[in-house]
Amino acid sequence: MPPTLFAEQVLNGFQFGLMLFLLAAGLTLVLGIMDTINLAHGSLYMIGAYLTATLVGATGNFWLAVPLAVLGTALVGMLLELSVLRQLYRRDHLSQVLATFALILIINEVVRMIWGSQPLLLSAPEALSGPVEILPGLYYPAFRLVIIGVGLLVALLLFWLVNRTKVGMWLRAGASNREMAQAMGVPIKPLFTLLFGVGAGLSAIAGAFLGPILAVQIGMGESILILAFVVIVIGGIGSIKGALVGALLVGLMDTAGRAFLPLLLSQVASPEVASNLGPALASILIYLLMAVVLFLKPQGLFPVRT
Amino acid sequence: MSLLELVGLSRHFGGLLAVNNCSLSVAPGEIHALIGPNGAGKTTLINLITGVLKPSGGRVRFQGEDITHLPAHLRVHRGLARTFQITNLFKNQTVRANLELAVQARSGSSFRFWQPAAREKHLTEAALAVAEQIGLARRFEVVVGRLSHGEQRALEVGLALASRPKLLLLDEPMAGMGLEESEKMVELIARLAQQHSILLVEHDMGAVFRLAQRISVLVYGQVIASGSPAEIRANPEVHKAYLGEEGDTA
Amino acid sequence: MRWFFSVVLLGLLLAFPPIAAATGLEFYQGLLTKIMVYALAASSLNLILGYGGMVSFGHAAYFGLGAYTVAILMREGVTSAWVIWVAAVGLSGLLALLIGVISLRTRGVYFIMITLAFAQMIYYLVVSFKQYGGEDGLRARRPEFGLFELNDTTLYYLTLGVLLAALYLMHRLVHSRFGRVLQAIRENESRALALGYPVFRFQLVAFVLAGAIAGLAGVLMAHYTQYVSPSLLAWQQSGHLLMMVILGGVGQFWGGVLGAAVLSLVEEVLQDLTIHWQLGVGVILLLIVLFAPQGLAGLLRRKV
Repeated sequence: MPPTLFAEQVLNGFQFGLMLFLLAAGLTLVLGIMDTINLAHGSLYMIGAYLTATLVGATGNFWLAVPLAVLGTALVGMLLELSVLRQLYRRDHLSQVLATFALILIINEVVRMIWGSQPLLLSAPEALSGPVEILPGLYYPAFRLVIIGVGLLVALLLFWLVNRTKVGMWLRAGASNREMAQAMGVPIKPLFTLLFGVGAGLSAIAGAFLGPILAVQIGMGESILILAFVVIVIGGIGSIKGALVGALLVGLMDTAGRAFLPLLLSQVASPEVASNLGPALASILIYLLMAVVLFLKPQGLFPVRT
Repeated sequence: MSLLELVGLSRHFGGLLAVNNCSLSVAPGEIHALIGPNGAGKTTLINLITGVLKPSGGRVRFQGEDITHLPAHLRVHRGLARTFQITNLFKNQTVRANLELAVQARSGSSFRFWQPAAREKHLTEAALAVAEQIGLARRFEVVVGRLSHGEQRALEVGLALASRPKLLLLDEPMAGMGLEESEKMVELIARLAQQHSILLVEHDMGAVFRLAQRISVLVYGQVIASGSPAEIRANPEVHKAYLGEEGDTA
Repeated sequence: MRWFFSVVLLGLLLAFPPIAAATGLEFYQGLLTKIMVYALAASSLNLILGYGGMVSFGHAAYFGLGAYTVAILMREGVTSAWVIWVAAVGLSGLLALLIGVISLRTRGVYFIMITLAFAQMIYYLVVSFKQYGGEDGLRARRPEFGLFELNDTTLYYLTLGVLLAALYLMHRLVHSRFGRVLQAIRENESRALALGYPVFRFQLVAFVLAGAIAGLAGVLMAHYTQYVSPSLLAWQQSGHLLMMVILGGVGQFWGGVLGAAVLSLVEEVLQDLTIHWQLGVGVILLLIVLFAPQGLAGLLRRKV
């Protein structure tokens, strides 16, 4: 196997993993602090992609569209929190699952009503459409490099926010013991609306940047949402560090699995079996990884709660 | 031969050593009290004995059998029953339903899918008998949520009794009780001691010194003293660690 | 009063096919068959969810496996309905055993995620088998019972019979010793353990039973549509089944049946009104969760 192909796939996995992290970060904090399962998180990712695509279409400028789309999605997220999610904090997990599942259905249809059933076109900016030679002989698409850059930047910002600011300290306190945090005077309610908005914004960034690579269509949030949940379960619910490690693991396994498993399988089985079973196995491996992690460390790799 | 024997039992949680090399024994027919300040590890010890927690080290022997690795539910069938420090009942069910469940557990297999359980009159009779023992016969059909705190604590004991145990592990049965209720509980325990061995975890020193034949003192996860009530009262270590801070005892 | 109502309803159900044939309402016979199939699947989920307290987000796996077993065996030349039924129910139960043994060691959100994950695994596995239709699905011809021909009308009665039998079995189960313990575990697991009940074993048995019944429902679905597709295994289908149970009433005996009936009817009506019918379903579900979490059976109980 040519080393350039290998390197390329590793970079792809890294890139996908970083975007997964953006989704997982918001999700893990919501679940960790408020013990609330939010299935509609993927819908925010979708809204981010749709808004970006529309704004790019309207303004012709990707770099203008993205921040606006992120803001718009953050607003939607906060509205959702104030209206629906707030009612769910005291409820059991089943109710949360069903209510947010209902939100997925509703949001999917609203998007369909506004934008129609056909996928939207979202292209990477012209300037970034070419490859970059990052090492002699190794070419990698510029846009994907930018994604990695954005992902790393946001990750660093998040780490700074969570570990070095007062707000972050409140978040960590809340994730570790909500009642205690409230008793100590942490303003949980507004903090939470803000958190939700930030989570929505992060998902929108992921949506905006993955949109050109995957597709901007109804239901795009669902499959990535499940992966995000797998990530936070592996990483440890409530842990940002866990979300990053989990996301990178899953991102690499997914991308590398899809690329290399068919190759590996074709050594032992017929080409058609290999090409059919390969991607399925790649997905299955991720779930197997989660099952194994849960078996060995039932609270995930970096548990936050005692 | 002791009924229950703990040999060097330990349990740590991450860096915290909650139970540290504990050894104690309960003889058949005795009331053995376990006292110590809050956070000393008493409930953890009960959880280790009942199998809810696995020990990090040491052994648990019951009637001569090493039960250290025996699953929790089987320990009940060996004759070990417990109450919970924080009331842990089926709150939406009646006293009767709670007791019937307890009785059912020791009356043969519950992997029966066809016959209505309500037809098994013997379950109800046995449940009623236990209710009488604990003084709740008149409250048999009352939903647990409606019982007074003292009655709920009594039911806790009742659930343990229903499995016909050899050893009763009572975890602060008098928790949250007023004078009158505590008095009733003390009488109940004294009555039960005629037919059961008891390991009693309690803070109420009056009750402890009235009931116990032997007392062990647990501080920071370690047994610092074990002996007769008189010995414990006289022990300076115990005074320093525990009794001294509590003021006078009976 | 309730008895009278039930008898009348049963009578109507039994008499429906000839009435439908006479008045040209065959479509509704098919709809009723579909409702009964979902009623069976939803009731099986209600058993572990409502009575056992296990929030399984992967119940579609057993439903879909049952359906696919029919399609695949028929494709491979096995035409005896008896063999197919036993195989499908057996496989679904076996899958539930394997998944249950691992998943039931977890609790809370982990349990929800891991059941979802396993169902996804099955989904991806099935989709990868291009020879069995892959993403497009597969035709599922109706097998032979030998005693009678399996057509739309006989299928209707067969489904009705299976549903009634399953409900009767569930009724006995819920009131048996096993049922009592299962509900006790749902209410207070640590207490049940402290009483001496092997909690894991009880949950596992219930889980396997529910999986097997869901598999049977899948078989009937395959007979009804004569076609199977991976969407039967998708997590949206698991959500669909959960929706039915909460709509009907979690832990209420008729919860699965009521929920299946009402949701299917609502979907039919909405689908005729607008292409955005899922919006209506979503809104109804949200309202139920927020304001009537006891479901319809719960509401009816309070009124009666």
